[in-house]
Amino acid sequence: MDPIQAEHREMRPSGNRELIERLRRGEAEAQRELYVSQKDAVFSAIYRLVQNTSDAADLTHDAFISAFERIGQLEDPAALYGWLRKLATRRALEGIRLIDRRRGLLNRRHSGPTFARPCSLDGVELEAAISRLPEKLRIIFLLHAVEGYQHSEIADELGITPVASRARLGRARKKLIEALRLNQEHG
Amino acid sequence: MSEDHRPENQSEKRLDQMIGSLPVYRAPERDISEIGSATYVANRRVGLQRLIPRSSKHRWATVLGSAALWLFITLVGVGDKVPTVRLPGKLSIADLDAALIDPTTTRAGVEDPLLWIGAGLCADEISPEVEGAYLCVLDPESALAEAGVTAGAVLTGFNLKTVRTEDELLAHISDLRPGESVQVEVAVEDVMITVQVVAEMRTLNGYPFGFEWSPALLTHTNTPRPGEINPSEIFRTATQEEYDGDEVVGDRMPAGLEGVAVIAEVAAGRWESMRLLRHFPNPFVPGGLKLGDLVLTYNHEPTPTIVALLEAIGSTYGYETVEVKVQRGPTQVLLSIPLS
Repeated sequence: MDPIQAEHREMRPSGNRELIERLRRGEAEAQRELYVSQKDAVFSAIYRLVQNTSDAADLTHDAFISAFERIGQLEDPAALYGWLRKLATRRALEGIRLIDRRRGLLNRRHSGPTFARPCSLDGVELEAAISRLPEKLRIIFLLHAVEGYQHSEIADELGITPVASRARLGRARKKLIEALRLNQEHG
Repeated sequence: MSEDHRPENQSEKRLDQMIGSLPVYRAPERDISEIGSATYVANRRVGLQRLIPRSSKHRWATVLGSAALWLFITLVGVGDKVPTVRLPGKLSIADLDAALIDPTTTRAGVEDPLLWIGAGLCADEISPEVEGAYLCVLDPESALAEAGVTAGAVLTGFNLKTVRTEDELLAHISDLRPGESVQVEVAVEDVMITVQVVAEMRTLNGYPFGFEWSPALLTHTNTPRPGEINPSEIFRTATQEEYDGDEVVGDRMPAGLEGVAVIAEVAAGRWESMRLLRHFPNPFVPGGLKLGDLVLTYNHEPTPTIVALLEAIGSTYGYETVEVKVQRGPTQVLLSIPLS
């Protein structure tokens, strides 16, 4: 289970309904509350997809604004954080398309953001290995393994077939296992 | 389940376990004072939030300027295109020679130097006549720019390897070691020029130590700068003999110093990740560690062996500062080393 997802579960208070009501009324304080509690989780999810701190920061901001504007569409209060995460993922995918268009003009700089809290060596190594995956494989791996998307959902988001999604996921996992030398670890 | 598949299944399980330990990053600080306010949402809706100074008297000028820019982009239609940059090369051999004489190109305070070469390549603009890629963007502080190369030149080779795309260039750069000298070949107006650059390792500002995996920056120079210490002379890459599986075995432990990790054992290139063999900028040099220092404790953990030292280092991911106690000659020194 992704630690961020786990955190969402812990942070899902019974007061979600109240928070959502306040968000629907456009209360700035409620919006700030959601932003402060979730910005790191949303930023982390977006950063993994776009692989750029500055773009991820912008998209995080956009994701929250988009959430505030669309909060009326949220039906299940218990799904608040998952809904926000999905919205963020969608913004990140849109962002990647824009970033792709300007690729070649900008110097690519792999800059890493700071950790919100200390993390393990495993997590850091996996993160680095993920960032080295080809973009198509990386996105599908993150959507499926970290964000919990089904292959049919990935297919809809990316305009590919579920079979292609499944195949790319398999390739991504294989590459990660090779990169992390996990097969040798257990060999 | 056959035995043949067992390792693979275990690998899959291990991978799934690792997913659960992915780090959570801190979102960069942003001014959220206007989030949720009518002004913010209104600004956001017209897409000008980042362009409008929040409390500046020039707000209206910025709005009008932005509107004019939007109109221009819409009418001229450059918004969705990759601009074609074909600036004429301005480099002469004499200019290049002059630039090579004074290789003082260290850029202090670089904040985002990972894989920084100061050049952007237009992969779509490969010349049919020349095998290479156009330099579309050139940072004026880059080694190439300081050697006199200008945007519009064609990058044709990197250490005798052909370069056609930015990815290819970055792949070549990622093989570099600090202190390693490389040749960058550039075609300027049909003249082939070779610029000698040296890969440098620098500590990053503002990023957590341990996550960066940039190998090097490129500095244009033919000779070591006076007084500058080459990082590769302080730290060295672990040799194959030092590997025992995934662990480094200290083979340089001097007689009589058993139980103390010698700083020369901490390899610059590979000291952090034995599995991925990545490079990490090393914060210890600016932090005050010196060649020959004996590391007694790392963040209060005794470091009797290199493995213990590496484990101690690994347990401080995300820390901003660590304390390292070293034996330097007859005295013990406690260093407080910033990691980010």
